[in-house]
Amino acid sequence: MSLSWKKVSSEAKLLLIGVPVLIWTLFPLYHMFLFAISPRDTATSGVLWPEKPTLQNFEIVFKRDHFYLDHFWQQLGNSFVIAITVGALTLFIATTAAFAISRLKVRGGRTVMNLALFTYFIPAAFLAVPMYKTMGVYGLLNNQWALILAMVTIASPYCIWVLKQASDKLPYELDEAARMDGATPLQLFWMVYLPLMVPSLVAVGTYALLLAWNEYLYAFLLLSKDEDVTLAVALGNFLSADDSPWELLMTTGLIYALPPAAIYYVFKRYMVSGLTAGAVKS
Amino acid sequence: MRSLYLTSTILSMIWTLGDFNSVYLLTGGGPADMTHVLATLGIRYLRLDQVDLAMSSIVVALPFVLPLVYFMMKRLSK
Repeated sequence: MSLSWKKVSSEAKLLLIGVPVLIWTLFPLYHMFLFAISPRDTATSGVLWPEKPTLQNFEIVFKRDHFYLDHFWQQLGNSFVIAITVGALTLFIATTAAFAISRLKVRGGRTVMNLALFTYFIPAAFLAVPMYKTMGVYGLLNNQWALILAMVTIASPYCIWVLKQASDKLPYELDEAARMDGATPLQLFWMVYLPLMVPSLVAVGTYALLLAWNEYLYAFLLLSKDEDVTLAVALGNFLSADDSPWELLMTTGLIYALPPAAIYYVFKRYMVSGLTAGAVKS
Repeated sequence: MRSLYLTSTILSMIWTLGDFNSVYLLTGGGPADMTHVLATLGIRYLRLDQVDLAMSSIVVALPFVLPLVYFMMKRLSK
């Protein structure tokens, strides 16, 4: 009896922590959703549920019926193009780098790993100023390639690090067996390495994709034309006026948040195992 | 768990020190530039086309960041 009482009390303690944390996490999402389905005049009235929920805001956003939303579809497309390109490029760079360092034991590999780790620790906002200057020197400002290259630079170190840790766990005997049978390094890469690394590759690719999708600072610095910017910058622009249309901002934000949620949901079984494979050693 | 906590705390410290998005989107550094952190200050000067001032406000942060980075490097690299 006393044992079950102990169990109940520990369960209650966990609930006491868990429920507030859950509310704390979900409340902003709920707030966003609430704004998105409220008509304009009652959006900020502070009720827990609007009297007449409406989908009108979505209609306005989809039809680009507002000054801030003139290029909505274009900007959403920009976000997609940039995120996918960054994901693909980062994946290519990180995979080849990790393969070379971990499987081929390239000389200087440790230095590359340490440099990657070093860049990963410097906050991206501090690198923004030098990056802006560099892109200016190369004449890439206001070009979407500037953002793509910058995001690849920021995403790569972590991806290389994780993939290196993950590939160190593959048994080296596999490589030796393949080499015995006369496999060239390229064949080794395609036929042995890649198939075994799929879970980590998915996790790392998703990481880079979402990093680029969520990026605000670099997009806002490196791009300025309304047709070029990503949706994140467009959302930031909503706040430039005093009477921001909050319900439209939240609606667009909700739409903007859906693709990452979908990607997480699809790949969630890879995410945890793949990203923690080499994330933190202790 | 102790070393894991230390790692996470320091990593979080470094990134919070260089956080731009939250500060910029919540207060924009205002009112009267009173809520700027070094990262937003740097970007502010950059927007005013004063690249030298922008660079120096970032460099000012390095004495705080680099020791933490050094500590992390020693922990994480073999």
